[in-house]
Amino acid sequence: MLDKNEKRAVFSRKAGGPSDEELIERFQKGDLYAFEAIVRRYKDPLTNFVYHYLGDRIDAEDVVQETFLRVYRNKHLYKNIAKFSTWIYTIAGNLSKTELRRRKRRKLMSLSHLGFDDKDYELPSTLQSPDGIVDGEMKEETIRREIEALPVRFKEVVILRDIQEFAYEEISDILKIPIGTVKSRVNRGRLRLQKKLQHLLDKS
Amino acid sequence: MRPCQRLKRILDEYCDGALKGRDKNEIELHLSGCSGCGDYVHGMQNLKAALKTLPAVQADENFIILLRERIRREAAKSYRAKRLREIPAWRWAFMAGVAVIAVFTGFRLFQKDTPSIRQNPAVLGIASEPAAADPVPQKQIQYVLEDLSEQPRSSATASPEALQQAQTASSDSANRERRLDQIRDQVKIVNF
Repeated sequence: MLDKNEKRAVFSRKAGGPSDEELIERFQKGDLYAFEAIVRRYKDPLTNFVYHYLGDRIDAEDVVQETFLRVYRNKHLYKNIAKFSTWIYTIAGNLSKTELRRRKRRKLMSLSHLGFDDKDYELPSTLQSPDGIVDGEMKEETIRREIEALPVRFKEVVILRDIQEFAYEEISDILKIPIGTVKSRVNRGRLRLQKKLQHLLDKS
Repeated sequence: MRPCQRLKRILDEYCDGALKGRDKNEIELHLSGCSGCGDYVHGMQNLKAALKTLPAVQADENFIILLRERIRREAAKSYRAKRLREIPAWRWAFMAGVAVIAVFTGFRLFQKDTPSIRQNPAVLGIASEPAAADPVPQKQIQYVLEDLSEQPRSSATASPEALQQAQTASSDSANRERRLDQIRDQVKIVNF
């Protein structure tokens, strides 16, 4: 069974389009049109990946732009021994993790400035009304929020496997962890999500 | 109910669609009779279906324009940095030397304009130092004075002989002064 990227690669070859590796090779030789072709090919899947990681569209686009900037700046670092998609997703994943760490620091700092009498730290209720859950948008929002609330080690593998539809081997290459670890993390992440979304999944 | 623990790994592979042929048939046969495993697989498949329903988020329309702008800014920055790196080391050394000389000259000029403490002790509100001692060694002067003191000195009584003696003495005194000056000069030269 072909995953999404393999399908994309097969499609681009069938359509007469160059592969990612050919494009980056041309870009390494100074062809800026090849770089633009890479951007057009990857901007949407990367934005989707980072958005599920961070849960914020503006931050996600910022991280994806930074990813392409890194590719532009460090094009000479790519060696044709790994898949280009693996390389670019590794960069995007690392930048997303950095952004999450920065957010955590910011949150800690802003909380430390609040006193006990301040009301600003009251968080909105995560409970939805039963009528709201039935609504499709609310359902998507709930799933997104639960994915975002997962610990990073589960979140990254679940996004890559179940949303981006990468193969286990590719996830292992992107995250630089053994395949066995990927499989067990995917499974544990799914179980956690299943527990959190039980009410929603039962209804559907 | 919980799934059968010995089959859990195979059930996960089944959920991922990785099982084929005989293995797949055997698991399906097991699922038809085991409610624990059936519930587990059903829950996993529901979750996967729910995750697939999430609409894909796409990048903004202006994404490429904004990226181009960022790259242009980046390129300009790296060009400036490259230009700075291209300046040879000797030129940096020369500029550093010029800067040091300029600072030193400025400092000296500033010092010249400001009265120094030695030149004007009143700046600090203290009295001036006593004059420096004569550089000619006192011992030598004493020796010369003794040598010249053989001549009689002028007396208070002014007899004609005494006046003549006084005139002789004054000319002697002038000679003595001249001689003293010569000796001082010699001593200065020797000291130098």
